Amino acid sequence: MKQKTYQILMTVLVCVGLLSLIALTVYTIIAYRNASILNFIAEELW
Amino acid sequence: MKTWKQITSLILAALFFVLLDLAIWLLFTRRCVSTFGNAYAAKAIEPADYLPFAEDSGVVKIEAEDKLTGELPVLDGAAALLPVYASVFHALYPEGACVFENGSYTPESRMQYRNTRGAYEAIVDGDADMIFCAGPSREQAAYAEERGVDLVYVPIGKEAFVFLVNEKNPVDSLTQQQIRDIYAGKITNWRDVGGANRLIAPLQRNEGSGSQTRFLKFMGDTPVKHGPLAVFGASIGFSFRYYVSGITKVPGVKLLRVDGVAPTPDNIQNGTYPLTGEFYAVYRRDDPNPNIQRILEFLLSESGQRLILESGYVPIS
Repeated sequence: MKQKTYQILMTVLVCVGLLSLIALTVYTIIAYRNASILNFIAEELW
Repeated sequence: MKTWKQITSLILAALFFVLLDLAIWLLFTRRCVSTFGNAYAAKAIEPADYLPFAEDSGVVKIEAEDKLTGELPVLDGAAALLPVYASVFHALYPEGACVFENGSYTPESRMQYRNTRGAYEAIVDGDADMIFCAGPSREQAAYAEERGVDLVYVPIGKEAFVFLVNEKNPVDSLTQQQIRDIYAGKITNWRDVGGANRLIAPLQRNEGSGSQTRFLKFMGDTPVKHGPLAVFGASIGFSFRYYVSGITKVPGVKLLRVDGVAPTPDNIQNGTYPLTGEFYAVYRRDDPNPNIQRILEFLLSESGQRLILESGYVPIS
């Protein structure tokens, strides 16, 4: 694989990864503000 | 760099983000939205399940001797008490007085559902004539006072204020002092109250909700501190007994015994459960509508108290 191709692929991958993290975080914050206490406790991992 | 090294580093980078997203989803997001959990259905009460006069409705079908006539008071109230006042509506109102379309009550309907915060505003502003709620928060009482509205609170039933945890949490019972210490930030690990070695994540509700107001009353002068972010610990929360076990029937949670006493209807009735409280029918003192007194007479009659009982609550008498 050419170095330039590799760099483009890595850049795209990191950008997509960061975007997905930001989107999930924003979505989680919005959901948390509307979350039900009951749901939150019931779905707790033990 | 060799091709296989490049491909490996690309795969590792992709894996890093996928695993990070997955961890956030599993630990936190899933619990907020619960798109595949059984508890999703329990996120909120569904007014359509408690429609007066509907055949498959969850309301108690007790008929009063005479239906109301003349000016019909608008009823409103808390989510947890929707089964009660929907049943009162069914018993006393003519059928056409309830209009429910597209998932909510229309403005002309005499039956409304705005939950505790909305209901207290509505009765002060004159948009509701009788509401069914737990006692008001300081802000709600002040809102009425500022507008010169004198509200009358008539106790019509009893209910238990409950604390709850995940059903897998080994702790079954806490004392009132332990609960206050948890919310005050003095006890921060379940190990200190006989449980697992996990941080305690004390949850609260939004200001003005019935259970949050009751919680602040329970805490009294003890200052409430926010605990660690809930994702890092095992949670404790609060609600009202019948809302948890009768209306939402949420699986995966258990109600704690308080001072060793379980919040059962018997223990609420005989007063041994320490966090027992009354819930009220609330109206404006200057409301001249005679139907207000007729509703109260019905609520405190044998039929009315049977309605409270059959709705899942504990009668006042």
